[in-house]
Amino acid sequence: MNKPRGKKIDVVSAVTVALIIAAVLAPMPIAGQTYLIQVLVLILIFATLAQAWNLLAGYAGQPSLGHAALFGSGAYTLALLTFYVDFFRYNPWPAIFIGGFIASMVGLAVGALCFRLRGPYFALATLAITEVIRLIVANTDFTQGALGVTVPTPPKVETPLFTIDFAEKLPYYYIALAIMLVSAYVVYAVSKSRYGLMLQSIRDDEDATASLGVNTFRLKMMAMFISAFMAGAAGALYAVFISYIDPSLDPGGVLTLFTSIDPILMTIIGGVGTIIGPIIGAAIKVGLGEYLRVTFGWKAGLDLVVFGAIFMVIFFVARRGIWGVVKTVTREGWGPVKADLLKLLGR
Amino acid sequence: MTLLEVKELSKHFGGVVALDGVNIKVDKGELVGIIGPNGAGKTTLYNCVTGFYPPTSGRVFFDGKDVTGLPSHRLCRMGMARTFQIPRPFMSMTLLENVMVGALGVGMSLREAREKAKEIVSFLKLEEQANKPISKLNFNYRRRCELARALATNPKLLMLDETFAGLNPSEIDEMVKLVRKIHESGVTIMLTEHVMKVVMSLAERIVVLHQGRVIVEGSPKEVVNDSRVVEAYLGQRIFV
Repeated sequence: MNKPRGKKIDVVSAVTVALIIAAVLAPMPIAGQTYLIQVLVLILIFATLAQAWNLLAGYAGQPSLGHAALFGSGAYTLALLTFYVDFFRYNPWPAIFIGGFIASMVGLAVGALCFRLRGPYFALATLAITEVIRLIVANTDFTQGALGVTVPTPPKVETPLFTIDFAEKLPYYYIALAIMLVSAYVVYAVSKSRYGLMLQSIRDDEDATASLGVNTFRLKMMAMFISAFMAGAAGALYAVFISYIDPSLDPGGVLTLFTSIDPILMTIIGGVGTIIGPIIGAAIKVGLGEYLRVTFGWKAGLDLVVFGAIFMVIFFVARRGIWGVVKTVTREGWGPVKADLLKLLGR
Repeated sequence: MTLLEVKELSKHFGGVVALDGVNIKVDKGELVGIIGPNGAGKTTLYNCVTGFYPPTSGRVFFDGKDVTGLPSHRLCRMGMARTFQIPRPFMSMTLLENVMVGALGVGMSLREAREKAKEIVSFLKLEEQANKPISKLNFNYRRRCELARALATNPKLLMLDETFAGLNPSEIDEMVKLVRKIHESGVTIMLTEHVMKVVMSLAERIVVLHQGRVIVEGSPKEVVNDSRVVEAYLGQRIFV
């Protein structure tokens, strides 16, 4: 019983290492193709954001609709630091951590208010707070209001051995990859720690968890702190990568509902409560989105229609998310998946 | 020595008086049964004592301290564990993981929790089910899992809420044995039940609740023969 289990873990870690190496080498054959690398960077940034949502919602069962507030806090922290402080104009990289930290503070404030609520009430409260934050940012001079903030391109780093030019996309790829891998590892570590089981039990039944001595509020705040840090760091990197952020309602705006919904879509498509799920989901959401935009761009909105149709199919066929289905099938065979489908067909 | 003391506890839900000045004392090492017909206030009493509802008035003392209104996780860490009338297992976990949450909740490390959970699982004869997902196990095992989970918190007082309801006769026999075993290991037990037979064989002392009040208190024999208890369960005698 124990032996095959040990073997299985080895296979998983071998595959993981292989995937990381592949991710590190991936840009080589497409080094010149700026657009492709840009898409890859966005996938990695959103995979981090999705992973953040996954920790709070997938593991701890708190369905936040406010991750845009955290992503936006990080983005605005970096943008405003480069705007007001000379040091960060020449070296914005420490601001990624500061962005994560400020987002954590915002997250704790949101949590202190919203964790008193459950389920859909929690979700709607986080949504409301996000919109309030967006409106404050849009109407405050300090944050440049509706004008938005332009982030200058970080200067070249020159060493005797190599030169890193941030006017190119490739350096961002590696920074985004590092942040994404660290965030995935953090979620993995939390899920395997003593807090992992308690977060999961909060998701299953919060009252019963509290009756067993778990301070559920504190644990939810802890999950929020980590989740918000990851979302904030992703947002900060996004700001310096895109080099302009504003509080508009457009799909690209960092504080919009789109930014809150995207990580949810990604995580659900990929597999809620799994480490790989959000990464797969981000790749599909961003990658497929770009592909469709190019292919169906000749008619306004057509790409989104096709996009929606594809998502519906994924939801129907893979109710546990793509990675969730893979996991279920390897562990229990096709039975549960078939049962899901039959249920959907009304059997 | 008194472990739990409930003093003049009342709970109102709007105009409904669920508990009306209840006084109960439980000594260390006792096995007390709380009985009463449906709606007598047994579960409300549990919810008020274990920190799920704030009582409208009255006080609760546990282990010499005033614990009125403390949240349930703090009460649990002080040694008060409860089970639910309808089992509330953590559905995405195995039985063993369910039990581990109890041990983690009171501050054990992951390794300690696993050891503790294994110990309790074998104490309650659940080894065969331990690694199965709780969603695949039947009602009887979910019940016992609740019991195991509560025990994993190292309770001084174990409050069982209708632990025998919904079990078949042989499962009830087994559960009675388990509860006795737990009591013999030194845990004070308070249990509610509306099946009289089970309580009579288990409890040393019985408290009868009716319409939110304690109407009778005494040994099983005294309680059974009390006309007020018969009335509460069967209604008033009518002479035609």
